[in-house]
Amino acid sequence: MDNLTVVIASHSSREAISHCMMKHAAEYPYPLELVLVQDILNEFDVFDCVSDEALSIEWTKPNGEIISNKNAILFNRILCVSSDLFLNFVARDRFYAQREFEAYLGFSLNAFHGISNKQARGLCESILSLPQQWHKVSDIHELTVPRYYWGMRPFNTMVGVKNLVYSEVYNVLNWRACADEGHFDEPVFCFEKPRGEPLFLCVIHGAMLITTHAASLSQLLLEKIKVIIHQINQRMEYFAYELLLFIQDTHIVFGCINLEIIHALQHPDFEAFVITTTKDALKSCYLSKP
Amino acid sequence: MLSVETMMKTKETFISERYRPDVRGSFIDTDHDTYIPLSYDASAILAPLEVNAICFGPRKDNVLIHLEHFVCEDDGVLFLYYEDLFKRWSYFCCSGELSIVYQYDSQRTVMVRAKLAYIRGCMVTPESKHWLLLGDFYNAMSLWQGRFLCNPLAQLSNESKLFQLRNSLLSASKKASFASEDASIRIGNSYVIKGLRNLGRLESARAYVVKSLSGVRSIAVDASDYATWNLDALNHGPVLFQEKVSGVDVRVHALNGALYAKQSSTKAAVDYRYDPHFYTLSDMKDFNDTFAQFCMDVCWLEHNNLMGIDFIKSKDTYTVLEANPCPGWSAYHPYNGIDQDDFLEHLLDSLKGMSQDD
Repeated sequence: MDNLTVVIASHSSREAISHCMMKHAAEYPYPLELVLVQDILNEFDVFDCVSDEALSIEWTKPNGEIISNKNAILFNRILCVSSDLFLNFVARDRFYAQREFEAYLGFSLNAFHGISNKQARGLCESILSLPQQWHKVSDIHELTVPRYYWGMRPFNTMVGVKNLVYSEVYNVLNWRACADEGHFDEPVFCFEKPRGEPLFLCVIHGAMLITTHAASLSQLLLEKIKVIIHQINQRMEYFAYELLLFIQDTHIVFGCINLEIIHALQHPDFEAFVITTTKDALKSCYLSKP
Repeated sequence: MLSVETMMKTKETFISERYRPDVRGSFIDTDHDTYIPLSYDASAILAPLEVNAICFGPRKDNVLIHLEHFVCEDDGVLFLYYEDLFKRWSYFCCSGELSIVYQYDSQRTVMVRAKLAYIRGCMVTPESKHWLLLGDFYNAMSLWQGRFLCNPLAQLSNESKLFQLRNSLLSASKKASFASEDASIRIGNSYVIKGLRNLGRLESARAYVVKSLSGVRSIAVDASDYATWNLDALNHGPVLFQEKVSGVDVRVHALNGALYAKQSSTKAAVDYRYDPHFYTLSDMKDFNDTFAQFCMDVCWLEHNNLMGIDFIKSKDTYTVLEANPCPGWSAYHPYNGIDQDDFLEHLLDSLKGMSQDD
């Protein structure tokens, strides 16, 4: 990949994939450069041009070096844009400054040839709530999704069901059955905790790494899981994510997708997995560059 | 002497609050009272209320106000206001199935069954309780099984004007150029600048307009205004400059494959929406097939069958500025109880499921 840099755009240097790639930067056949969201906001000068004929992104770093969509491929790992970045704006401009910056991120990242840079507000992927995720995968053969209720408490049809988890629709980490502690006149979200053992998988560029309980899985089950992941990828089109399934005998329940990689960090093969899959992805990206 | 905390909070945006007007009617009416509250009797079997369409939005939304006056009871169009959410109407999802519950009168709570949802937007900030309420509502509406006008999911690309310009608008204009030898539709030249030193890189011989990058409305101004602003604020965040194009402002409302265009013949202000001549817009019917196809293609690429597309017409060229995914059409097609308006008639047909392209 002659003369091309891979720019990894991230919200944090501790983001699992960004961190791993930069830690092993020497193993990649091209230079990697980490650019944080706060760098673009606070450190870089920008001069971009859009016309019918041309599209040019030009970020000038404080040392004078230029990052451009002409000399870089972009790998987007921005999972969020924190409102803390705008605390030093006067209060009346704070919200507007964030909206403007996110709009800029969406445009500028999309202007690069790259990976996971298709969202209008600059995030690497669109974030789906649990009901949205369950809806999207509900038609996958041999996969079930949790029963849930979301709405006003008086109409909650799941009261009395055992192992109910009361939570929020974007909370992918809470799977503990608990009591309802909300107010009568507030909406509620609850779901039936799936039976079976939780199974975490990390999926990057279509390849999977089973990060927990892999030894107990039969070959038949492994094959089923591979097929299910393929179908999930067709529906979600995410580049990288952590998947939670619940396994009871041969019965598989979809738990959730978390865009933040957490459990996989503990796996001894995680870093090698990231290096292999991202190298493959970047090679494909480079070859398709116009 | 300023405190450290105060000194830290000194950044301003280049486009100040003064040039970011509120859109009338787009906010939650905090004075609104709900007179017929929801009666929760979960044991009761809710009777169904069959309607053609539900229109959701803020109580003072001008579009909904005009629509309410235009429709009759027999049209089967129900209006549900965000101010009444969880007060007079509510929703719930059970394992993928979305239901709307409504207090029809003091005696009856009903389950509303509708074929179409028309979703109007609302300006809320993170400090407002409606920030989460409406966010959850739009999220829940992604499970709606019926048809939409202005689906919230179809409004995301307009959150970034240049993202939309560079994607759907450029794609449609290139297709138009390919189909017709004359390059009659262009996206115009846009620049994003951060860093005061980069302001000097704009060609001094050309004129520019400054406007919001995001979906937050700002009054578009030229150098006679922005040159007097705090130029240091250009160091604080990216700012959109677009080449000023001379010509006639055109707004096209594309609705289910039909086009309704208005033009402003004269204006004193840069932004025709805030010009004294705004309400003297005239119909524009002399557009060619390439132009019409462009508008249809934009709607198709944006997955939205009701859009407001803005152009500036100069001689034989149209410069497209943006495609509004939830247009405030009432300023262009007001209902006054006297004149017949084709757009309004078509909109009502669409709400009733009678439009040819439904």
